[in-house]
Amino acid sequence: MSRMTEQPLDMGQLLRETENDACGALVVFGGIVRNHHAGKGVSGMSYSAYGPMAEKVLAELEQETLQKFPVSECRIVHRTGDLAIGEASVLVVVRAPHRGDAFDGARYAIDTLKVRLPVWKHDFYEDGSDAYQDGVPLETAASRDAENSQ
Amino acid sequence: MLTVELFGVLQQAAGDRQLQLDALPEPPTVAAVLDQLARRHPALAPHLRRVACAQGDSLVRQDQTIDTSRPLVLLPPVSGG
Repeated sequence: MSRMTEQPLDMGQLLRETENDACGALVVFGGIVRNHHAGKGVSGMSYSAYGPMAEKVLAELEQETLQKFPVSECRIVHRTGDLAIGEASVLVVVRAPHRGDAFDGARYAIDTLKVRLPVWKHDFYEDGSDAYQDGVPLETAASRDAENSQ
Repeated sequence: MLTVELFGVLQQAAGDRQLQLDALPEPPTVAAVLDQLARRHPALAPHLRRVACAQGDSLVRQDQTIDTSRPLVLLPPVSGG
């Protein structure tokens, strides 16, 4: 499965791709389209992405998670296009010998994705209005260096 | 002539997915491009302070000069996940 896809995310395939007999822990994080945002009812959501960079960011984040934590497997996939309430927009699968490391790795992967992945949510509300969600400025290598030097 | 590609709220503000800029210094810095954009497309100006910029699959800093034969991609604050 490509890391960025317009197709529904296939958790079963990710679990098969990451099977590892040395791992006693499996953590899956799923981001799901919910039916409200900022006090308004949401009827659906559209995700857009800057594809050339998004695929690279996810590949690098998988490798970074494997290097920073004692985890053995890390796969991240993100959906684009129009999603209905209840559909998965992102899946993070981490396997490790022990559960603490698997939780830590998965948490790091999704938290870092939130500041590095060039993807934008466009909400469609039940009242007929729509809006791009206000996000966080993209974390760059320069901003990471500045943060680390503080 | 430089093509500027827009994403997210920038598309909504500009009413288009891409813009063309000419009469830029050669080669322009990213900062010079953003300055021109703010002047020629005032609706984008409030958003430009928070954008990151890229060419291809790599980010470019505001003080970098760019090759105008490749699109400059403007990436507003992100909201993936």
